[in-house]
Amino acid sequence: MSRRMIQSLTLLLVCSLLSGCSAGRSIYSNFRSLEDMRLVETLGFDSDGSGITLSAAVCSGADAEPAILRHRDFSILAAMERMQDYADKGQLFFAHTQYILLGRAAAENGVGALFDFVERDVHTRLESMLFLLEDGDAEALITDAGGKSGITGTLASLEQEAQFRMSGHAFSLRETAVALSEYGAALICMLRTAALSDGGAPDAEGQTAVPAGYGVLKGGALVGTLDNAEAEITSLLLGETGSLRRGVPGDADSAVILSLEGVGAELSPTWNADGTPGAVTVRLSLRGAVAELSADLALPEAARLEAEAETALTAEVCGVLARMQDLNADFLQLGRALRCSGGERFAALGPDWLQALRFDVRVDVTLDRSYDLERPVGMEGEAGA
Amino acid sequence: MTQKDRISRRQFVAIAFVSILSPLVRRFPRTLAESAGRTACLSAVFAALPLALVAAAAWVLFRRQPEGTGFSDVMQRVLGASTSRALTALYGLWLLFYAGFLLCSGAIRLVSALYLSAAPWVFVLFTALPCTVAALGQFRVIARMAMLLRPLMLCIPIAICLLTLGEFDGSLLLPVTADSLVPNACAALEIVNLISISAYLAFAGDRLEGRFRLRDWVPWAAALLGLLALMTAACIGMFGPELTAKLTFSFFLLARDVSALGSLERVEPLVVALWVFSDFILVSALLWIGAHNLRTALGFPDSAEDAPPRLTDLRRGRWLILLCAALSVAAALLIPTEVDGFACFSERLVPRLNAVFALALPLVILLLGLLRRKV
Repeated sequence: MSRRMIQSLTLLLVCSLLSGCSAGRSIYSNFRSLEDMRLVETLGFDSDGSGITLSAAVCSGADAEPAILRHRDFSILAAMERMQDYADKGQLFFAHTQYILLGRAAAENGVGALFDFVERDVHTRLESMLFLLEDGDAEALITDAGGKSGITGTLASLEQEAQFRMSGHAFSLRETAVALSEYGAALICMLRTAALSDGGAPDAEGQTAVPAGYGVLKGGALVGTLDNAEAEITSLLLGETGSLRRGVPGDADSAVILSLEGVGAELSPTWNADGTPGAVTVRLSLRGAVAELSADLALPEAARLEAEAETALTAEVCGVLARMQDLNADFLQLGRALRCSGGERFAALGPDWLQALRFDVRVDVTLDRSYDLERPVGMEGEAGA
Repeated sequence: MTQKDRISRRQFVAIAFVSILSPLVRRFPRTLAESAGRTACLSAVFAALPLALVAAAAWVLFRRQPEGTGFSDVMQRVLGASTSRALTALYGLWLLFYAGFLLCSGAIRLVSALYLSAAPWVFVLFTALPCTVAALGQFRVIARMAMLLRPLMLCIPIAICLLTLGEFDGSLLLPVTADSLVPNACAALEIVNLISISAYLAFAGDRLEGRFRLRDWVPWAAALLGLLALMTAACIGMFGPELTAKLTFSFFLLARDVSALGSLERVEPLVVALWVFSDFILVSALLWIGAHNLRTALGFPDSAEDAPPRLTDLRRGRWLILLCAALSVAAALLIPTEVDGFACFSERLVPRLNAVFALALPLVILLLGLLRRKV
């Protein structure tokens, strides 16, 4: 047998052994086909200080309802390993976990253990989206989630919807970890449990989750919450895209619903000569349109609507800024602006610099369109008074 | 086709480039973020000047040497036969130890990042095996492998960094103030110390066709520094300086967590390929050079003009190559693998010894050579 033939046969043998397509008969003893793996899509994390409860929504196939697994143990890794015992087939695969749902108690006890685990572990990812349950345990919601796709479908829908709505932007584990390390505080999208029958068919079974604003993490633990209205203002100040609705009083007993979109948010710190921070200029610009009138269809002048909206929004912005100072949690990431503008002056500030800040707030609202609501269809001859 | 063991200047630069990536991605950007904070990507720019000085010193050392001169020959001319032989042997032993350290650190990296329950010795042995086979062959084989791998090694980090563009937060790299200068300058010295391992390739200078020219090395050195700046900026722009300094393998985690168009995920095997291939080239080169040095010091004949030897031909001192590989593996297995013990080697011993062998000793030889008018 020639030398070249020996070399070719050796190469062929090596390639067949090294190839990953030999279904377990190669040297890759840990090879698993996709059909043998159970993909964990949503992970629930509950902790009461004495143990950890992990719950998982596991993909069972394109048209099947997800399987639910849960286990309580002393550590995350132990719970993940024991959960495997209850999988009906295949190996649990955590690497594509898309969502992590935190129970309120777990968030109040601190998320450091979870973050540390995800950073160390080879199976999980920092890009998983993080949600907080305002009420109850994550396990209960994952177990009782209604709908064909279960909790994963609910969270996927909320994540997509959050791109267009201001009240609950979803952040990934990585974004939250970076915010905690950079600013000491972070926001987490908060959800509230609701019955499917509340908003759907009366006989619909199961639970769903609806946006409930933001939770505020400081030092890794939940220290406060922002309701939906506060969350919208917070999202505006953070420069997130989306729209919000606000009602302003119109003429007589009417109310005008404005649809507003953030155009720009600016938080500009100033510095005094002695190196202390001066007033922080907060400028918020919104453009909007008249979306709806109440019953008597009285549409005031645009200038007046703008003034009313600006007054109302200014008060809301001041409320969010006051909330931030009450919690002493820099969830608006003011530290970034102060660091970039102040340099060493910011580094020299004490730990309570946030509470000592003063704010100069100005909101500009420009109404572009009224959509001809002064002459609505079916009301001939009755223009707005 | 020639069978002589000769490499072109391009191949020489390719080995230098690919082999430097091995320790580069092992230590950076974590240690740069530790030293210089959020402006750490500037340290790559700061490193350009001292690196240029080191390159200029190397040029001065070799400028008057005839073609086909290795560093051993330069030492012999400057220091005399017996001193140069002793130093050549000492360098050989250091390079074998360094190869063992790289085998150990590579194994620890694979165990920590991927194979949590595996024992490091498995990876030490299975990395040492192909490197030994490469060291038994001609140096030009390693050079040609480096030429093949260089485009891949260049494109992988760039591609991963480009995938982070959608999530990149440039404000995490700011502000740049006067206080950033000193930490970045210190970090730049660490970069220079690390890149100086390419100086060991000078022992293979007798394999080089033609004279080494700085202008061959400058664009790839610039590419190396640019790559380092890009990787550091990407990590800090994604994780922030504090997390980048805390995460053991920040670039690996970056690759693990990026996604493209919502469908391409978990591209960290590309980073593993970067680790494995660059380790292979560097360890193979160090084993080859270390064995070459010891064979030269012990007086065994070695000629680049000979036809490629069979792998099983252990005559004329080639049995030393297997002994050298065994010594490297032994060193790798004896280095402690738990965090504190390994850190003693990784953070203190090896960088300091490298500074001595790659920078200080050649500088002393250069100065002596200039004084004695031998260079």
